[in-house]
Amino acid sequence: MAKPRVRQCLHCELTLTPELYNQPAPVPCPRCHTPLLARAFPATLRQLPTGSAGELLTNAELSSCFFHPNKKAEVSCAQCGRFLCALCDLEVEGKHLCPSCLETGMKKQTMATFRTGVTRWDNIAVLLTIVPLISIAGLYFTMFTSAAALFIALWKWNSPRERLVDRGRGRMIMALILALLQLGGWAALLFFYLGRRY
Amino acid sequence: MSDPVPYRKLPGRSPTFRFGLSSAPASTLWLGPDHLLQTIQTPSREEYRRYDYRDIQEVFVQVTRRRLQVNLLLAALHGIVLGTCLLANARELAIYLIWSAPFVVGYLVNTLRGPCCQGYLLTAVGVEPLSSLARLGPARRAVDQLTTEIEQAQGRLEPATLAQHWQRSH
Repeated sequence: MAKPRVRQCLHCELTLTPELYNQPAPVPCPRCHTPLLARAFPATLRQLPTGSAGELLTNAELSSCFFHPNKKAEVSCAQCGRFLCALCDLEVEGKHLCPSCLETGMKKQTMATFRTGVTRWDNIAVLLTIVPLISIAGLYFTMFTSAAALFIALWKWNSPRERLVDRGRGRMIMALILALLQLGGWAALLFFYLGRRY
Repeated sequence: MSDPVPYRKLPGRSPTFRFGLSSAPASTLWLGPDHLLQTIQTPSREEYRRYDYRDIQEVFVQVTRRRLQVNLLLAALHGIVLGTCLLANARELAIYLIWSAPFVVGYLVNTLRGPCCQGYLLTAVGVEPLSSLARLGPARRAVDQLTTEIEQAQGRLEPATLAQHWQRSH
């Protein structure tokens, strides 16, 4: 997908006029008549806010910032309690954090706000049970892939709960059932083979 | 790790069969208490992007020719399959019908789901494609719900104010 040009029709590249915006239903492009739906909001009128540099410490009796000793402390970190100037104060979910606590939080992804992604263990387990079934040669690998899927499903049973959305265990249950069926099939085959041989 | 789920899913999903016509990863959109959450899925990972309602400048959706392209691709494949049946001297009508069934289902589903579209979201720092807004019907419903949330956070922008701002900035 090509990167869209801002405020232009995607087909004829006509620059859009304000009349085409904030209409309740899609309106045709004046040149190519392709329907479009555009909504603009007051943020489009706003300039990006500039950050605060922090106030210089003029009185020796006042508390100073832990990271900038010559700047006045304005707030303390909600996590570690260090005093912070306006420059170091990072507000996340209503809490004031220092840069090091924010970095730690982002690394550990302890707060939902910091979570930028999760591994889809349930999908991996399902794929391990299904992908080998696509080809006949792959059937031989199901002995290993189903065991791996079973291991993942049990080891990462709670992993869907780490997601922000769609946190059901449906895929895990599906992977468990398929893996157990495949392993059961192999066990039955082995039992049948050994029974005939001895 | 077991945070409550404050998200509400917006209508729309990324195209199931892409036929190489789209390079954007599969994604879904969710309304949060103060931000829009975009989940981007690959087979092994799920990535999250958050857009604060106060930072969203524009939402844009436009109809594309993807529905026609998919139908033409299906027609070409259908033609190849039927041509192969003819070359193989298949005389039974049932053979043609059986081989045609998946393509007919494909045409019907693709046509009945409505026109395809492309959506994107504009913030002060960039343009983000919204690949889940792939069909016009669900995209309209999603944009309407999103507009309500954004207008609660930012207020409403009148077209006249927008026109004045654009005149000043150009």
